[in-house]
Amino acid sequence: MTIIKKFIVIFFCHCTILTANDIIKDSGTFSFSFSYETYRTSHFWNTNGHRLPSYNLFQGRGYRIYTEYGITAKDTIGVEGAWDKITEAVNGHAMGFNDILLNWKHVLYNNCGSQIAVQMIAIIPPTTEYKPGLRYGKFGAEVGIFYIRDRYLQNLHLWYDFKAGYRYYLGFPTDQIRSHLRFCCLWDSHIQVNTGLFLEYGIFNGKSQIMSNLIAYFPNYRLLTVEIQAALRFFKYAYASIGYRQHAWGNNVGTNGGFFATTGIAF
Amino acid sequence: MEASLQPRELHFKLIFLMVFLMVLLVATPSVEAGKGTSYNHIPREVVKAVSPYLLTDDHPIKQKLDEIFKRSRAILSVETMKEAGFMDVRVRKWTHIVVTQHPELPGYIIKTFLDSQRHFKGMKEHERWIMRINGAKAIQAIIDAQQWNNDFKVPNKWIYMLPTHPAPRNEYSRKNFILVEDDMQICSEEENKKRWKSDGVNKEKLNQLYIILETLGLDDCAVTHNIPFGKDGKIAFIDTESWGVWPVGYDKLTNDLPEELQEFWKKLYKGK
Repeated sequence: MTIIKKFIVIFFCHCTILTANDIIKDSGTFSFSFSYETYRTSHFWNTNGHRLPSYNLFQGRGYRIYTEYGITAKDTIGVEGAWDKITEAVNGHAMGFNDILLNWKHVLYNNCGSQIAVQMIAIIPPTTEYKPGLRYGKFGAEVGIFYIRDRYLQNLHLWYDFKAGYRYYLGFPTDQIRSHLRFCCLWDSHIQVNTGLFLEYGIFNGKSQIMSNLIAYFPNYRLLTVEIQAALRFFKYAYASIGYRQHAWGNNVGTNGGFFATTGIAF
Repeated sequence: MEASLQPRELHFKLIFLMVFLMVLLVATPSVEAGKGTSYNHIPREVVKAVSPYLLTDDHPIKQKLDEIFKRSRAILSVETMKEAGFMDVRVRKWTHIVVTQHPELPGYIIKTFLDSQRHFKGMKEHERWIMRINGAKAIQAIIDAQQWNNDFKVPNKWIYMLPTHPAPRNEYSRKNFILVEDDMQICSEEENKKRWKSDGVNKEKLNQLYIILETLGLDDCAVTHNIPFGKDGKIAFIDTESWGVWPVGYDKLTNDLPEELQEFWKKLYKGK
């Protein structure tokens, strides 16, 4: 296959070149990103989904790094780490490293225009200390399956990806069904817009804790998030994006949302 | 009274043990909790544990407390506390406690956690209040035994059991007890610092203070904001939750003392 044909295949058969959010990386492709995110709320949804005041302004800031590498044309490995700080009006503040997520993705099916892949994630807490609102401090794992499909509309490259997964924690946190549906649009190979729905659906088999936080990391919770993100490529391999994440529905979780910004490289 | 010399540690530990046992044994039930009163939302063992420390029905402010806390769920949040008439309501940074007063409760300080707070460090509020009351009693026992009542004071403290109703929603971390204590009429922060630097502090007083702190292991009280001067010139022990903690960090107090006494203080706690 000529170089031009290879380029076309790569460009049209895989998700965005622009951001590091490709589900599966090409062999030898590396990406690294750094994100900053904020969150603020003074309300929460209770077990029945009713919105109530927390009487406790909750503000969170998080810093995330994420790196991925395409081992082969079918296998991609990645690692994510984070450091968060939360400040609560009546509970003081807490800060610390969040779980390390090691993930591996494997392509099961790949036909130009669509892919099916499986993912396995290992959840490794930095410590086993439960910090309400910050982290569970529990080991866990997640398995999931992706379906990716792309289309072309005039000069727009459009695609979507759908994920269905199951997350399990050792100890008190509830198991969760994790799913997302994301739509992406790439224009002129420099500007990309993503939007999506992200679901964390606890099956409510977790155990109550005396120090639970009403806003985040409640042992039994459900959350549906809507997210929109715009990314811009500058230079050859670097990009920056900004987005907003809004909690749309939930049980035992905070309302409202926050902004996030990401910068990274992919080559 | 001069500080005793060797064997120093054994001496203080024996006194601490005696005071500790006295506090436990002397604490007499002031209320037979549960008789004629329904507290179904509070475990029986908790009611039994707090009974010796409860504010009695004949206490001067019991009726007024009942009135205030039956009008509304005052301790739900900072806002509801203010709406109920409590003054200067703010959550303290290190202890997460709200320390406040109410115009209908003159002469008394209220300390409470809010229903909107989770249990601080996983400990129920009544456990903290019991520790504070026992700490206060232990300090008072030494003050009485040594007849140092002209120089030191500690507030009387009681637990007030909040009425069953009004109740907060189940989502919140319901608190059932608040701490009521005498107002020690302490000086402002600025005035307190001045007094600690003044000739109101002398070698005898430092000797006495050292004995109290070392006997009971009052590490948190080795700072002037926890042992402030009252307007009557007495030193008040207002933070009595943590005791039985050694070694006491005496060096925290040094720089707040008059310069001419700082060397004396260092020699005193270093045992030289």
